[in-house]
Amino acid sequence: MTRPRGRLLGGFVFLLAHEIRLAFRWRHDSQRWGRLAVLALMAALLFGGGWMLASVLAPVSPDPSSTPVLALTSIALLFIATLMLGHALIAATEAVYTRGDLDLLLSSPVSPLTVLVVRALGVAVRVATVYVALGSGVLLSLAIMGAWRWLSIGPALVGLSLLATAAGLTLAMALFATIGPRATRVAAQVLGALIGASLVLAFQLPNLDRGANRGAAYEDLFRRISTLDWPAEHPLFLPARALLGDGDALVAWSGACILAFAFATVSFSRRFTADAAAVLSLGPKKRPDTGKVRPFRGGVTMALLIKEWRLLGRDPVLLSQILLQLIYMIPLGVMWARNASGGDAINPAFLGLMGGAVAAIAASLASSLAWITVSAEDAPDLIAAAPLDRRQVDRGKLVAAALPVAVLCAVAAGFVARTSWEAAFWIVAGGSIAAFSAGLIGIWHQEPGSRKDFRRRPRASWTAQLGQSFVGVGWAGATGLAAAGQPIVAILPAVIALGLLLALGESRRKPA
Amino acid sequence: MDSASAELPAAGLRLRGLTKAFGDKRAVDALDLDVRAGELYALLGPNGAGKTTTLRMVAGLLQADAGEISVFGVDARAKPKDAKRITAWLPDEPMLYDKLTAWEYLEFVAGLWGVPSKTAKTRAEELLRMLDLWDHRDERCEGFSRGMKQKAALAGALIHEPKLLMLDEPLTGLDAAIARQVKDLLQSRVKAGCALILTTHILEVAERMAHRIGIIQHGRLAAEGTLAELRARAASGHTLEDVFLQLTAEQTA
Repeated sequence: MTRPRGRLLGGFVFLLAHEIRLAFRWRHDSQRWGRLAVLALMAALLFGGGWMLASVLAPVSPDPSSTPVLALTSIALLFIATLMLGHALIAATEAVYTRGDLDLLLSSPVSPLTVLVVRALGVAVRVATVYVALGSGVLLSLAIMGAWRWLSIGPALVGLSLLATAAGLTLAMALFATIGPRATRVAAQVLGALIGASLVLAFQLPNLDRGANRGAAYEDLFRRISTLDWPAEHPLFLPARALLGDGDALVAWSGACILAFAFATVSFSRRFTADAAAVLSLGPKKRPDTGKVRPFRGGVTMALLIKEWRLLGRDPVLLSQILLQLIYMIPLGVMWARNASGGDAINPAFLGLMGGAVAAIAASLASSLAWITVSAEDAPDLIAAAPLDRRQVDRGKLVAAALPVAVLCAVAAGFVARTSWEAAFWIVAGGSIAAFSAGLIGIWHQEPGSRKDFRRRPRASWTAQLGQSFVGVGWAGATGLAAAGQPIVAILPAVIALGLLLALGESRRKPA
Repeated sequence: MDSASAELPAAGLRLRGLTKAFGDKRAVDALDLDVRAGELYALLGPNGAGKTTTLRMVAGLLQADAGEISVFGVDARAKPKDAKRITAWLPDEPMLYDKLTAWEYLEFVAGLWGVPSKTAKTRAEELLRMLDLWDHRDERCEGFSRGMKQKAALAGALIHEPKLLMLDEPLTGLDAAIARQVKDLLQSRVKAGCALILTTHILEVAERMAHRIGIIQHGRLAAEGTLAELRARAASGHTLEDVFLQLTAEQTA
């Protein structure tokens, strides 16, 4: 019996609509207006910034025949491509291997190829949306200004997202075949983050050479680009030509990307059913934990600390997601190593940059940890039914979230202390205050969720989230200024951060 | 067990005028209820009748809008910590940590209730052996079946030797052998003087195990008594299911 084509296509469209709805769903209807307000604000900012950029671009006609322009555009595209690939690899692994609805879909009459194509398209849509949305302000402004040739940026980026999705699927499949289903999720997280940050990290390479002049290294790179004697028709320039409005190149680039996407999806479909079956039959680890571990002694706070840290330590996926936030410490570390190796006094502005960055990362890390310990508590009823004061529980959770971050700040400050004791002090103090503030906000504005949903964790409210960001920025600014030798000036952002923190404390939810 | 209620000692759990509303809806409406020490009380009712809300208020998970909750003479609303110390609450979904082993889970729960370490170890071993989990004590709960999880959670609920035990659908999804183990353990606690209140949709469990049965609907007790008393009141039908359906239908009408 053959199925009518219309029904087949209907199933495909239905599934795709479902996939996109899942990707962009809002958790609560009550958040709708808050989200709309934030989206409107973001749209205004994007359009405002886009209009300014478009004012510069519009009078200039893009030149897809100039080799230096093509080379620079290619580097920019490579940067975007690495970010897209990192995003696509993580999204592809999640969509294909870890989402819980595979058994439902594969037991339905929909063919596995349709399921895979829809999943892959869903990943491409998610990846493309981020970058096209970021460019939408400038694209719209250029359209209004009549600079039509620049509008090829949009389809060129959509093509790139299809290519990144194809590469992400291929990488996910290779990981699955090589290291098996259990390790693929963690490996994809780490690899995706490293790929995403690879170009940023690569630009730090000149900093590793202590004897080299960093400025000269970048000048040399740009000199090489400007004197590159590749012809404009070089195949590696195809995406750049497409982006710069060469119609033929745009058609060729789009076709190549669609072909690559189709090829990857069809090749993948041969393995998909078997791989999915392997994932579905995968049970949790049965290995007994007979090793020596610290017992739950030393009072309630200690029991909560041990519990939180043990749960986190035994969850490699979650742990990798948390630790990957530290990846952005690498460029800072490299810059620090270079600056500290000269023997001269370190520039106060650089100390300020270090201090601000450490405090900002501390706030972000502590916020993540606080969500895990407070909102993603696996057995909230057990804790609530125990004969404990709420404050006792909150204190344990706050310490569990903020203490590791404070220790990391102390480690960072240890390096700085060799050059400036004052800056090291401000980094420990500012980083710890930022971490504890983020933890407190996490306790005050908790929103229950599952650890599995950490990457798409629900937020209490947009005001709390915005407030948390501003508090983090405030403490980062204060720490940076104090570390740069301006402790009096630092009082202003510190007071603002403290004021916002108190306001967030006042607006906390009361228990039912 | 119909005749047992008369000889039982004074109240383990005593609720008077207990009320909880969610918005306009009164989930529990001026509820009066007593469960005696050494008594197994089954609280029955259709979905949304207010059973779980009642137990969650007693466990200190929800604030009551009005009324009194007394647990073995302790005013649970005024002194929640003192009441929690002698109470155990087991919801229908086991409250476990997937990444902890069964042994670690019991150690942690004992830590929360302040059970001395040595005592906790002895009790944990006793409970795990009793529930056939001893050989799995070093396995993480994530690898457990539904029944094993339920047993581990029950062991956690009993580690501090509570005087009042509240169980929400404790036998749902368990196979016959595990259900039997759980029932035996619960009855041994009741014999030891525990006040036990459980909610269940499996009426046969209430029929066979409970000293008294309460039927709750729209947040109020529609009927209460021993099985014989309820049968007499319903007039028609011989099984608890007949009685339950008739009494809840009367209330709805």
